[in-house]
Formats: sequence, structure tokens, C-alpha cells
Amino acid sequence: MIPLPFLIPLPFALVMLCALVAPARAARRLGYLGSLAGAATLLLVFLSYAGGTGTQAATWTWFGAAGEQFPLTITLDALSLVLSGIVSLIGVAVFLYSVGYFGDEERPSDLSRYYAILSLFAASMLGVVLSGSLLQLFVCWELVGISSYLLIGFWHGKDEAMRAARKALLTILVGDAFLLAGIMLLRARYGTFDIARVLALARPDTLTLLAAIGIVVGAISKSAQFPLHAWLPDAMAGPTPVSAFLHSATMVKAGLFLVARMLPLLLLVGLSPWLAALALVTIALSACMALVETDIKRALAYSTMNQLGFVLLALSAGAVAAGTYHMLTHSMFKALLFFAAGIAIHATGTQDMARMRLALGANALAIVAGIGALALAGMVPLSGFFSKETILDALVRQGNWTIVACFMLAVLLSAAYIARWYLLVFARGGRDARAPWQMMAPAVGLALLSLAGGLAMGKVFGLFGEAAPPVLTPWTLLSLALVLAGFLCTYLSCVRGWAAWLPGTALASAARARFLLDDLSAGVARAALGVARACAWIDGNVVDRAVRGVAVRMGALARGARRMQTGRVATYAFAIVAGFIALVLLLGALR
Amino acid sequence: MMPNPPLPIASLPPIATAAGLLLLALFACAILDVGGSRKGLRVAALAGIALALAMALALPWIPRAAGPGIAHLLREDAFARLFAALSLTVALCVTLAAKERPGSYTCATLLTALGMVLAAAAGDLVVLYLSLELVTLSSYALVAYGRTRERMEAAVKYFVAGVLASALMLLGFGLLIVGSGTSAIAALTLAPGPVGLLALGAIVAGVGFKLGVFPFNLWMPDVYQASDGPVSGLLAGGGKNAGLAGLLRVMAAVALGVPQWRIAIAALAAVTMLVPTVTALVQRDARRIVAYSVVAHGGMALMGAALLTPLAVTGSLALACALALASCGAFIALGALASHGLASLDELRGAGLRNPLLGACLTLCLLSLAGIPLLAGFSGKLFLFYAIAQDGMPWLAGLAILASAVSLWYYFSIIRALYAERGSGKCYEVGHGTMAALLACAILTIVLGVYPEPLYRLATMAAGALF
Amino acid sequence: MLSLLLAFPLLSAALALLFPRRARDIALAGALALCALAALSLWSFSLATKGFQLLERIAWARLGSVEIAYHVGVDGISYPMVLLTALLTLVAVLVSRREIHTGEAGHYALLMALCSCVIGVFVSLDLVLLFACWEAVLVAMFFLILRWGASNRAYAAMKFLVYTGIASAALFISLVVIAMATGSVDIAAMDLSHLSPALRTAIFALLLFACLVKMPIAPFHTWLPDAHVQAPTAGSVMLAGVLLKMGAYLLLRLGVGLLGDVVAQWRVFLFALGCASAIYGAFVCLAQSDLKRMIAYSSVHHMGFVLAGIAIGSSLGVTGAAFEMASHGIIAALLFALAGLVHERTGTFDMDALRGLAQRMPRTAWLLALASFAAMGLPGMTGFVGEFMILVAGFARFGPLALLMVPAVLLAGAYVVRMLSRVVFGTGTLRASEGGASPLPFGLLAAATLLVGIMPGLLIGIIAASTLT
Repeated sequence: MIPLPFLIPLPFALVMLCALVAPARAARRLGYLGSLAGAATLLLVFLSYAGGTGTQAATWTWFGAAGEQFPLTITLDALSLVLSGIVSLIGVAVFLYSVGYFGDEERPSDLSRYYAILSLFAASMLGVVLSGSLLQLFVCWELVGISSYLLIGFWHGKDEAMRAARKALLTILVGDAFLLAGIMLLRARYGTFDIARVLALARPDTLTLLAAIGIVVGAISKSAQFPLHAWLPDAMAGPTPVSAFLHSATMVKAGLFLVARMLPLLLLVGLSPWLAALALVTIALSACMALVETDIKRALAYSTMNQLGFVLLALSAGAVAAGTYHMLTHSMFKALLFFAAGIAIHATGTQDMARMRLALGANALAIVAGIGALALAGMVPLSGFFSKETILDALVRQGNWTIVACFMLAVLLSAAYIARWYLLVFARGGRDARAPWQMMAPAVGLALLSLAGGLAMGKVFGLFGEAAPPVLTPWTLLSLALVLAGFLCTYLSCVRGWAAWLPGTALASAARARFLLDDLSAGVARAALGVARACAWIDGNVVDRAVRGVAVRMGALARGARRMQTGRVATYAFAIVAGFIALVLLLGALR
Repeated sequence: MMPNPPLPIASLPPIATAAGLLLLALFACAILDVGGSRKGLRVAALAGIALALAMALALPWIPRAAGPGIAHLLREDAFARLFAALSLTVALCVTLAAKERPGSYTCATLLTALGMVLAAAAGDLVVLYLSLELVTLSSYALVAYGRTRERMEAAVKYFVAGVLASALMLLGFGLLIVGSGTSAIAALTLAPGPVGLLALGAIVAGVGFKLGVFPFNLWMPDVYQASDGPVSGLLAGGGKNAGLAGLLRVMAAVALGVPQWRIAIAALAAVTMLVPTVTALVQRDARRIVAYSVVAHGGMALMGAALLTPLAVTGSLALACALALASCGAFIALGALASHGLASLDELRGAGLRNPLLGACLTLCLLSLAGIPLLAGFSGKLFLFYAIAQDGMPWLAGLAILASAVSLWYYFSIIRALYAERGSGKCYEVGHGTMAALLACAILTIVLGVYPEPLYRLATMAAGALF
Repeated sequence: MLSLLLAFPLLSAALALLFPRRARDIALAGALALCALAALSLWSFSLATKGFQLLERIAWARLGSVEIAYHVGVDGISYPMVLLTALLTLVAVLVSRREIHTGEAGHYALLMALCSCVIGVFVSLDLVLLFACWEAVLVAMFFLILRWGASNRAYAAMKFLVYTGIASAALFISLVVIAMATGSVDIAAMDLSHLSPALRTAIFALLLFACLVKMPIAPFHTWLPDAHVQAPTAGSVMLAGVLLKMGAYLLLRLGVGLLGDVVAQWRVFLFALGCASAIYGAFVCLAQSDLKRMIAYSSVHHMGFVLAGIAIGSSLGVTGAAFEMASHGIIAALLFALAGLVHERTGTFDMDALRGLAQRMPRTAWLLALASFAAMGLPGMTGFVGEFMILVAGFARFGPLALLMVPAVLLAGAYVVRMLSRVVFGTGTLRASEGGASPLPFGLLAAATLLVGIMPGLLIGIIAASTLT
């Protein structure tokens, strides 16, 4: 009897199989099927949790070789519950949204492919967050990466999309290599793939430190933190549902999930300050870049980086519950924002915010987008406010005032950039946006969840066995004030035109140039290609030349030997006589 | 129950009978030649050789010579019979292949075959000398067949070198006879001191001329290239082996007690293997390539003569037999192609595709020479190299294997020319006789490659008879 | 049973030569029969036996006191190779049906003879028989390239022959030395432990050279790209699929099996060499612009991994190496078969000209993507399992030194991505159509890699039936 937890990825896997064999007419309906699968998965998750309390694990040996076991393990604890809940919930929304997103210009075979890969992604993402074994983690991690590549490159005829997909995959592969090294080192050191056992046995020695570094690099590549972040904005070239699902709500959370899962190990080897530093740099850079970005989806991508930086900051302080809660709320309002962006793009036909003219007012789009924006900024009473407070509380309790100060600044900046985003899209007068119900309904649903999300705080912290931090503290009020200040700054600068010198500063131009980090990654790729070309040159001109050189030398030897055959009788006669004499002398000399 | 009395035919001395049959065939051919009947002449020659072959092979094999033969002049032992069988098979193939040839050609072939048979069976130095000379003299005429400028030149080179070698051989034999007081090979003793060494050297030079020992083999490439195909086949398959047989006969009797014999001849063998192998790498004429390779194989056979142990000699004999067929076949095929003007590698382009059967047989012979497994050449080389390594000179065996590996290049150059592209030539007709000879060589090569045990058995018996 | 597996292809070859007009169908029937026989033999193969099974022996000849016999048998290392050969022969025949139109009789005869000789190498328990089959494989492949290859085939065929021929000479020398030193050439009963260490090292060095050239491992690999680029598709399928594995197999059977302590001494060197070859191969692969050449260098990369696995020497390492051998055989065959189809429809292997394949030949392009992901080691396909086992074994044995393997894994991903973006995806001016190509060979191989990738226990169970694991 297969344990119930193993069935959790099953609905999406079934949708994938259906998509592979579905006839052309049914291609569009696959979206509904996917939504149903998401709902079923959510149900399975609750059932599995209700079946027992605390942590449960179920192991299945995938294969055994030479006496070693290679197991797949599913762990159900607070972290995996919340994250699998995220995946299924957002999955429901995204599949439904996709039905409305893709118009009639897409071929049915392409749509089938889309749903198949999307389901593959969902199933493997569930595999990642449920995994209790490093082997299963890596297997599903790779599958997630490949599905991301294939989804970003869905319109594979578009060069821009393929470039973005390639960049994403290469960056993730670099991270995967480090992760693989980390997993292997842990396996060699502790003799097991089981995460719980590794965490129990962990000791702070060199191998473990190297492994931890590998794991961190793998995590930051998936979660687009500095310095492996350059792929995320480009990944916006994919379809918007993909951006909503993978690149805001779920896949990019995988890295942070890994950090959270392995946090005891990472803290044991003393990586906490490094994690905090990475998070802060990411937050700073992404906020700056978000403030100057004009593409609607790219701006949201930078904000994703920013918010994930918040989570990483929380994790570096050891606050797993706070980080997880923020991941939950962020998924919901970020997906919502992407849904809104998708509707806006459909309505206006462009992704450039400078050219969008959408109406502010009582239309559904502006309202749900506004809810999402407020949630991201952290305005009371939306979910984002509560999750930000939990992070702030954790940082305050940790006691590093530099970090707290930076976090406060970040709060201000995030409010500023999201307000700018909203104002650029909606506040310049324009028309209403019409959208099919399949696109509006998920957005509305997520908006409602963002409104009510604060209520879940106690529940989530309860899962972790912790008490929810108090909501009304001086720090809370301070952060609220900063949020309002951020709004004010944006209003003054965008609407009133104050501080027009701001875009001309060095910081702003550096931000527009993305701090040359994109060029850095391109440079690394070019260097690798250069090494490859050098190796190819060596192969042809050095290695093969040596081989051909042997042949050439033999030929020269042969031509020398050939001279003995003069063709003249006298030579032959001479050779006979001389040979005879030499032979006799040889026989004599050897005696 | 009385055992059946043996058939009278079973008690005939095989070698003497074979020689007699050859002489009969020779007379018949001479008469028929005068009468002008070419076809009957060939039939008579073929019949004679076939019967002689049957005699040599089919009569019951006795490991040691029971009857001493004609008064110690001929030894009817396994060694002689193996070489007789080999020589006669080669002669059969050659006669089959040599169709539109004058009667004198066939007669000369018969004489050469007779000489080869007698040389291996010689029990007396005089008989050995005479039979080797018979081989050489008859083949002068064969080389010159056709009287083209090339062939006359080759015949003259062969003649001059042959005369010198002959003189040296005579010197060596004479010294031996004087030193031992008798000319019977079994009773020879080597005079101590420089006289003995002189004798050894002279014999190696003289007999080695036939075998192809360096530096007495410089005539071989020119002569093999220029001669008619079947003639080269005869010389390569039979003439060389007559030299080998003679050398082994004499040296088994006298050189065992000479400690420096091993090293000196091993060095000679190594040089003989390596120099032609290297030289052949840049050759562009197919027959010249095969000629060099045949010379190199002579060097390999010489390795057995260097070590002079039963195992090593068995190896040499196995190799010699295996490669004789392949060399013969290769030369016959290449000769047939050359008679239509396709001699160099460029001219041969595509010949294998246009004449599939001829190409296949030629390829099989070349592959056998190269030592590709499941063909006779590999069987012979395997035994020989193992024997050489086992009996004390692994480095020599290693050199031989390397030489064999290098030789892959030139054999496959020919094969490449045959098959790489269709080329623009015509499809030439090849005579039935030639085709029959080639098929015989190819089939025997495959059979001996897949099932080498009979070859090994015969070679072991032959080597045993020598010591 | 094994003799049947050896004889059937030879019979088909002979029939193909005798009936040239029906050669295609004879070959197909022969290949199908071979696959059926191979499947049947699964019943006779016992997973519990650790030694050699399905033994057959016929005395063949005596070299003095050394007995040579036709002695065949399989164990867990060689049996998957036999199955792989049967599968790839079928694929090769199917591919040739589309591609070869001149000299068909000779082509199919050579292909079937090649199959038989390759199986012979894997099942031989007698060194002379093994060497005989090894050389015969060389010659058959030479003719396949020479007659049915691309424009520069004569050069490539000669280079292939002479380079690997010299490696075979090293093998021959070691054979003679073993025969001389131990008086026996029987692999099953061979015991080299009482020989002097110097002699054992010498034998191993000779064997190693032969295997390094054959596998191939940098810097002895330069015969491979030319051979692959010029060979016909069936030839490439067999070359990459099984011929390269002959070298790895020999190293396992004779090196690890008989000279295990010498391997242990050279362990670090061989491991480093394997990793270096894998990394180098991947880098050169990255720079290629000819599709077939790229796949050829990816073979160099994967075989470097196999060498690393063999060098590790532990049971898991050997299992991983054997698994990777089978896995790479399937994947490389699929890649070459697809490349052959692409060439047939478009007339070129140039990656820049082939851009945008997914828009013109979607099924082919997506299969190519699948095969590339398999080559990269994506979980769910066989490439991942083999590499993973070798990695685990490597880290267990060498600790941090095994980090050398990780760049190789990364670079595999890099060249796959580069190939996909240059060939499969993107927009291009390609003109081609896909219709009419039989999906059978590709489907077989893709199914094999997915099935064994998802349920690797099937293959690992077979591999475990050997004394080396």
C-alpha cells in the first residue's frame, strides 16, 4: 500500500500524461483539468496532515546497488505542508488563468505541450518540497529546472525567449553543480541521503562547510539571489502564467525552501552572516533596479528578488516560521500582481509601462492590482503587513541593528517601487481592461486571500510550534510609517514631479545598467566558450598533430630506408658480399 | 584375424614418388610442347602436380622417417612432406593461373617445383645444393618470361645476385664437408674456430638469399614487382620456403652448439622484419608493397631458425605455410590486374568494386598477410610469436608484433584503393584458371584460420622430425 | 544459447551475400531474430549467480602447451552489453534501410558480421577468441566507413584502422606475455597473482594503452571525431554504442578482474585522467559547429566518466561504470540515429544551418531534445543513474578530490543547452520535412532510456550478477 504522502504529486503527474496523449480539441480543456488536479492535491495535502500529527516520513527505495541504498523519502512537516499548499493553491489559479491567457493563435499541440510541462513542473516542485532525502531533492530539483527552461522557451521560435531560457538554465545548472557537490560531500561524510539523519549527525568540519557552501550556491541560483540573479528578469520573456507560477510563487521559492530545510546545518557551520550579507545585497540591488525599470513584468521580477531577499534575511536569522509565512503571503500577492500584469498586457498590447494607459477607478483590474500592491508594500490589514512584521520581529530579536536599519530602508523602498509600478500602469488615465473570466477569477480569488491572509498567521506559526509574534509594537508602527513614507515619496516624485534630478544620478544609471551584473554573467559565458574554442584548437593542432606527426615521421623513415633499393645490380652484389663479411664478423665478435 | 596386408601403394616413399611423378609430368610436357598441344600440356602438368601432392599428403604419415629413403640422399620425414605439400600446392595454384603461357613456362614451373620438393627432403648437402640451384635456375627463366625490358632487367639482377649467393653457398657447404668429412646432413659437425663461423656465415648468405634475409634480399622487391603474377607467387610461396627448409635442415644439424647463433640471427631477423616494413610504407605500386611484406615475413620465419627449439621451429613452419598461400594468391591476383595495366595504387582505384570476386579473394589474402584473426596468417603469427616469447626472446616477439601492426597501413592502403570509390576503369575479365587458383588460396586461408589445429599438428610433427 | 547469438548474425550475413536483392529484408529478419533470442536468453540468465554463466566450450587448437578453446560465457558485466548489441543492431539495420542504397548486400553482411564479432568480444572467455573478435570488429568497421561513408572517408577509415590497430598490437603483446607467463589463455580460470609485480604492471600498462585508445580517453581520442563524422549512420550507431564499450569492458574484465591491485595502485591517476578527459571532451564539444562531431566528443566526455568509475574500483563504482556503459550506448545511438535522419532530410550537419529544427521537423526535434537531456544526465533517464552512482562512489573513495567530476557534469549541461539553442530551438531558414520516417528505431531507444531510467533496478539486478560488483 503506497503511503498517502507519495500520492501528493500524483494528480499533476496524471495531468501531464493526459496532456501528452490528449487529442487536439481537448487541448484547451487541459487547463481546467490542471486546476482540478491542483484542488485534488490540496485535498491530499490536508488529508495527509490530518492523518497524523507532527512530522511524518515515508521512504521508498528507488534502487539499490552494490549494497548501497538510493531512497526517495517524503517528509511532511510544517515547512513542506505550507509549501506544498502554496504549490497546489497557486497551481489551481494558474491553470485556470492559462485557459484564458492563450488565445486562438496557439496551436493545440503547443498547448498540450504547455500543459504537460506545466504539470511536470508542478509535480516535481511538489517532489522538491516534500522531499526528505537529498537524492529525491536533487532529482526533482533538476526536473524543475528543465521544466522552467522549456516553459520560458515556450515560444521557441522567438529568439529573445530562447536566449532567456538558455540563460536561466545555464545559471541554474551552475547552481545545480554546486548543489550536487554539496549533496555528494554530505553523503560521503555522513553516509546517508536522509536529510533528517544528516541534520542530526552534522558536525562543523571542513567537508560539511564545503557541502554547506555548495548547498547555498545551489539555493541562490534557484531563488535568483545575488550573484546568480541575472536570469530572473530575462525569464519574463515566457508566458505570464509561467512567470506567475514559476518565477514568483513557486520555483524561486525552492532555493529558499532548501535553505530553510538545511538551516540547522548552515547555522552550525557559521554561514548565517554570509546569508544575511547576500540577502542585503540582493535587496539593495533589486530595489534600485525595480525603481528604474519600465517593463511591467521585469519590474515585478525585481520585486520578487527583493521579497525573496526578505525571506532569506529572515532565514539567516533562524526564523524559519517567519520566512515560511512570508513565502506564503508573497506567493499569493505576487501571483496576483502577475495575473494583473497579464491582463494589462493583453488589454494594451505592450509590456512597456511608459506606454500603458489603463483606467484607475472602480474597475476590477485596478482594484485587484491595488490590493496586490498594498499587500506587497505591507499595508495593514493585508497579508503582506503581517508577514513583514514577523520578519521584523525576528530581526529585532536577533539584535543586529545594522540589519534592522537596512531592513527598514528596504521596507521604504519596496513601498516606493510598487507604488511607482501601480501609478505608472493605472494612474495616467485610459481605458478599462476587459478580460475573460478565466483570467479575472483567479486574480479575484488571490486578492481575497491576500485580504484575509493575516488570519493565517497564527495557524502557520502553530504548525511550527511557535507563537505568533505580537502585531502591535512600536516597530510595527515604525514600519507602517515607512510604508506610508514610501508611498508619499513615489507620489511626490512621479505625480508631482519633485526631485526630477533623481533619475540622472549615478546610482540611477548604474541601476538602469543593472549594475553591469548582466554583463558579468555574459562575460563568464563568453570566457567558457573561449576556453572551449581553445580546447578545440588544441585538439586539432596539438593532439592530432602529434598523431599525424608520428605518421609523418614514419614516412620520412621509410623514404630513408627506400634509398637502399637503388635498383642497380652492383648495389645488390655489394650488399651480399658485405653482408656475408659482416655476418661472419658478427658471429666472431659475439663469441 | 589377420590384419589386412598393407596396400603396396602405402609403402611407397612419398617424396621420391612425388619427385618421380613430377619428372614424368615434365617429360610429358616436353613431348607435348614439341607436339604443340598447349591444352594437353597444361592438363599433364596439372595432373602431375596433383598426383604428386596426393602422394605427399595422403600417404600415411610416420612421425620419424621409417625408411631412410634413397641411400641417405632423401629423407622421407614429416618435415619434407610438409614442405612438399606446401610447394606442390603453390605450384598447383600457379599452374592453374598461368593460362596463356608457352610450354617452356610450364616446364620451368615443374622444374622449380621439383627443386623445392627435393630441397626440403635433402639428406645430403650436395642434394641440397643441387635442388636449391635447380629452383634458382628455373626461376631465372620464369622471371624473364615475356622478355619485356623490366623483366629482363629483373632477371639479370636476380641472376647476378644469385650467382654470388650460389658461390657463397658452395663455399659454406664445402667448408662443412671438409670439416665433417661427410656430406650427409645428419652427420655434419661444425669445425671449431673461425672456419666454422665462416661456414655458417656463408651458408646463411647463400641460403638466406633465397629466403630473403637482409641484406641478401635487396633483389626481391624488384624481381617480385617485375615478374609475371604467378611467377612471383611461386617464388614467394615456394622459393622462399625452399630456402627456409634448407636453412633449417642444415642449421638444426650444426648450429645448435654455437652459442652466438641465437643473438646474431635474431638480430638479423629483426632487421629483416623492420626494414622492409618501414620501406613499404611509402610505396605506391601494389606488387612492390606485397613484395616488401613478403620479405618481412621471411624475417619472421627466420626468428624460428634463430632459436632452433622445436616450438620455435614449429612456429616458423606454421607461419611459412600459412603465409605462402596468401602471398601466392595476392601475387596472382595483382598480376592479373597488372596485366591489364592496373599496377599502382592510383590505377587500382575501384578495382575491387568492379570485380567483386577478384577483389574479395585479393582482400582475403591481404588480410591474411596482415595477420587479421580467423585467417591463416593470424594462426601462423600467433603460434610463432607465442613460441618466440616462450622460448626466451619476448622482446623479439614484441618487435614482430609491432612490425605486424605497422604493416596494417600498407595492406589496407591497397584495400582502400580497391574499395574506396568506383573509379572509372572497366571490369576486366579474369580467366577461369586464375579465379580457381585464387578461390583455392582464399578458401584454404579461411579454413586454416578458423581451424588451425591441423596446421599446428603437421608443423609440430615436421619440427619434431628435424631434431 | 550464446553460440546461437553468435551464429545467427553470421548466418544472416552469409544469406545477405548469397541473395543480394533481398539483403535488406534478410538483415531485418536476422536482427529481429537476434533480439528475440536475446530476450529469450533473459530466462536462462540467473541473477543470483556471481560467476560466469551460459558457458560453452569447444577445444580449438594448442599452441605448444597452451590450450586455446572456443570458450564463451557471460556475467553481469558482459550480459547487458550483449543485450545492448542486439538492440543496437536492430536500430542500425532499421536506420540503414532508409539510408543505404548502393552495395546493400555487402553493407548488411558487414553490419551483421560486426554485430556477431562485437557479441564475441563480450562473451569470449578465451583471450585468443577475444582478440580475434576484437580485430574482426576493427576490420568490419573499416570497411563500413570506407565504402559507405562521407566525402573524406578514406582518410578517416585508415586513421581509425591504424590507430586502433596499434592499440590492438598492445593487446596482442599482452596476450602473448600472459600466455607465456601463465601457460593459459582462459579468462575464467586465469590467475595472474603469482607473477612478478613488474610483469603484472607491464601487462596492465599494455592493456591500459589498448583500452584508453579504444574507449577513447584524451589524449588518445583523435581518431574518433573523424571516424564518426565520416561513417554512415549505422556505423556511427554501432561505433558509439558498442565499439567504444569494448575498451571499457576489457579494462573491467582483465584490469579490475585480474590485476585489481595494479588498478588500485594507479587508481588516483586513472580517476584524474578520466575526469580530465571528461572535462576536456565536454569543452571541445562545446566549441563544435558540426552536429555529428559534437555528439562524437560527447562520447569522449561520457567515456571519461566510465573510466573514472572503473578507477574508483569499489563495487558501486564498477556498477556505476557498467550502468553508464549501457546507458551511454543507448543515448549515443539515439543521438546519432536522429542526426542521421536530420542529415537525410536536410542534407547537412552544420549546426548553424539547422537552426529552428523544431519548427520544421517537430517530432525529430523534440526527440533530439529528449536525447540531449538524457545525455546531460536528467533524472528519469538512464544517464542520471549511472552518473549518480559513479559520483557517490567517487566521493566515498576520494572525498574532496572527487569534486573534479562536478565540472564535467556542469559542462555536459552547457553543451546540451548550446546545442539545443543552436539546432532545435530558434528561428531558421531550414527547409525540411519529416514525413515518412519510421519512428521505430528512435522509439525503441527512447523507450529503453526512459524505462531503465525510471526503473534502474532492472539493469542493476543484472549487473550485480558478477564477481566484480
